[in-house]
Amino acid sequence: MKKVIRPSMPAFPKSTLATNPVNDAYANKVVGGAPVAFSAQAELAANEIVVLNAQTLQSGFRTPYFIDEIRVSMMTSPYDATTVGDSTTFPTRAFTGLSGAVDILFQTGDKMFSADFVPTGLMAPIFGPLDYGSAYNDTVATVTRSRAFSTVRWLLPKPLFMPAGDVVLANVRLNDPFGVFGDYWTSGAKAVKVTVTYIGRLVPPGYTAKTRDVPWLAWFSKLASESWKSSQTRFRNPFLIPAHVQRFVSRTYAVKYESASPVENYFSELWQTGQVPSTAVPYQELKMDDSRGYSIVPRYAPIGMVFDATRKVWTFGRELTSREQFNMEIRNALPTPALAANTDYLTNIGLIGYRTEDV
Amino acid sequence: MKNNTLSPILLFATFPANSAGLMPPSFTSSVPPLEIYNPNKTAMLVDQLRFRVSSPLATPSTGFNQDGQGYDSRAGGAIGIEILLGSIPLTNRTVTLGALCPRYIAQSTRALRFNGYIDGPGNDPVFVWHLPKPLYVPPLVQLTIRMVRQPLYPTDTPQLDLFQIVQGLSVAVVGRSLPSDFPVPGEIDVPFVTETQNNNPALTRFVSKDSDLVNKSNVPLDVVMFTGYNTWFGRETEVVVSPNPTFTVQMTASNGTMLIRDPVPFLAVFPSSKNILPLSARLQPGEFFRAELECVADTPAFGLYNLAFTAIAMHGSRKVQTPGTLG
Repeated sequence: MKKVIRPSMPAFPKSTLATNPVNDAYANKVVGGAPVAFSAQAELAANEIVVLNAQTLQSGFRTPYFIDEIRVSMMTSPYDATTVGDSTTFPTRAFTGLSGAVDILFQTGDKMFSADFVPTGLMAPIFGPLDYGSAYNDTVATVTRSRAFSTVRWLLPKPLFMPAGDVVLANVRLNDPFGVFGDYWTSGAKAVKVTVTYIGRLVPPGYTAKTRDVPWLAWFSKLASESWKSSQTRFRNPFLIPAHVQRFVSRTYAVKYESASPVENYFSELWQTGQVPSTAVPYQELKMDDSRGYSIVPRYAPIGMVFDATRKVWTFGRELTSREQFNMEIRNALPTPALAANTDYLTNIGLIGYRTEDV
Repeated sequence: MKNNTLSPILLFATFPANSAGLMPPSFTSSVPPLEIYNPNKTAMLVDQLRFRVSSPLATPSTGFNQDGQGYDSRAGGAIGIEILLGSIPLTNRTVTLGALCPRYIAQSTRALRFNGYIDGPGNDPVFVWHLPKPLYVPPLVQLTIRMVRQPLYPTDTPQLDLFQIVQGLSVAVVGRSLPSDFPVPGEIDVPFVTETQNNNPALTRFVSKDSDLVNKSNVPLDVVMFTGYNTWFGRETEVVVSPNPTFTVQMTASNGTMLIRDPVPFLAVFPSSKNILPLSARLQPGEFFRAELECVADTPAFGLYNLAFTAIAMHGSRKVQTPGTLG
């Protein structure tokens, strides 16, 4: 047999640091290895789906690593449509609901985090004012154009062990359910830039894992214009193994269409989840039980009372056996609200958890 | 099927209003007990109580929580809450809502009012009381939550019309439903909150009664914090600057301990970001704290509103024998 000469791996360069971070005994014992961050970016047009560059999201060290958190930042491009609203209104109202418009589907190997795209706003509790989205003015020539941006920081329920060479693919979609993006950008124009970053640690030498905790996401949504909706099988454990539910998160987004010229439609996030401004009825209510018959929220309660007022989450700490599910119903507080013309509100409720799978 | 799972639970109930749907000053009502009874028929651990004051009307002059007039954050001072577990009191009489529930985010309820970018009524302020320790509620033992609409001024004024709670006051009991085979503890930690309150705007000096911030039980009380709540000229006091009048607080204990020896500005002790003074103290039965408030305003033109409404609440917990069933 012909002998195959494989090129030898280059020697690891001598570190100029006081200690080599990969072999640092202290770092490996205490923090589990040198910290790492991998990032990828893409610009999306409305309704476009992009698979982020897997190579830049992958460890170049060819060693196993943990992913501890996932950060997503989103920013709009300066708008280029000619029939748009005044720039004073744009920065303060439009597109601060980016976390509800950018959806992501994560997958590693054959393990998917969710059955479908999930809005980034449902992946984590609120971490600070930027989570609500904000806007700033970016002067271009003599015309003031503005950008909106939003960030989400998702601390995974449990660190995700990644075998050497493995990667978490991020499929990103700019969801434009109400067609508002089309008012500010011409068709096909790249409206939003999305950056996904994985923050983690290299695994100490010699560490092996037979199982790993893979995140699980689920969600459902209801418009205020719908009088009632049920989650049905949205919050069912689809796996053949138990799944741990860490928390629920809820955000309400508002869309408003202005028919008068100049166009000033916008898509923003409400401060208080489930609070539907209305002259008749102000909020949405939910009740909840599980497939065992346990009452969790036995009587309809305002969503703003169910979820933590500042972080918009409900920390749960409950295990679902295989095929077990939560049943959730949302309705408008009776009677059906009289919404302002050309306005609607979208309440999203997400589940964040994990299941333990073989590596 | 056996109830063998520890599961979160949230019990929501609304305090009934009067026949006109209002809660005028001195009105009192209790949550219907069945609405805060665990339907899983097991014991539960209560971690939080969340109160919400809802007044969804759009126009500022007719809503309790509406902006524009300056009378927009009095919900915390206008409601007193009394809680009992069976016959075991969690509060000494009623405790002002704004003192029972520390400021939940680094803003007053007034700031919580704005609903982002949509025109319409503001957000309903939510007051959250994190119990010092989870409260074990045995099955079949009644949890009673009563509210009293506290008048903010001793005499009727037109402003009182703004204080009618139109939509209502509601509460969510948030906790965990225990498995049916969870062993019944012999004794439980029961929170206890008591307050001293000044509701006389004419006063420039106030001293609490010995019976206010007192341990009334026959077991030691572990005090974990004080909360301070003040409204002045229609809004929750937020900053220690003019034109808000400056008033100071001193606190001593009946056993001679000086908690706050020299007069210190009230808002320096109970800052606007989180109006609590944490501490770790043990009060023996009958021991008490005394609070002295004194106005040192350099703006005498503000006259009657020198101290306005001020409440200081003492939060603690004590061990109590697990109550039996009342049926």
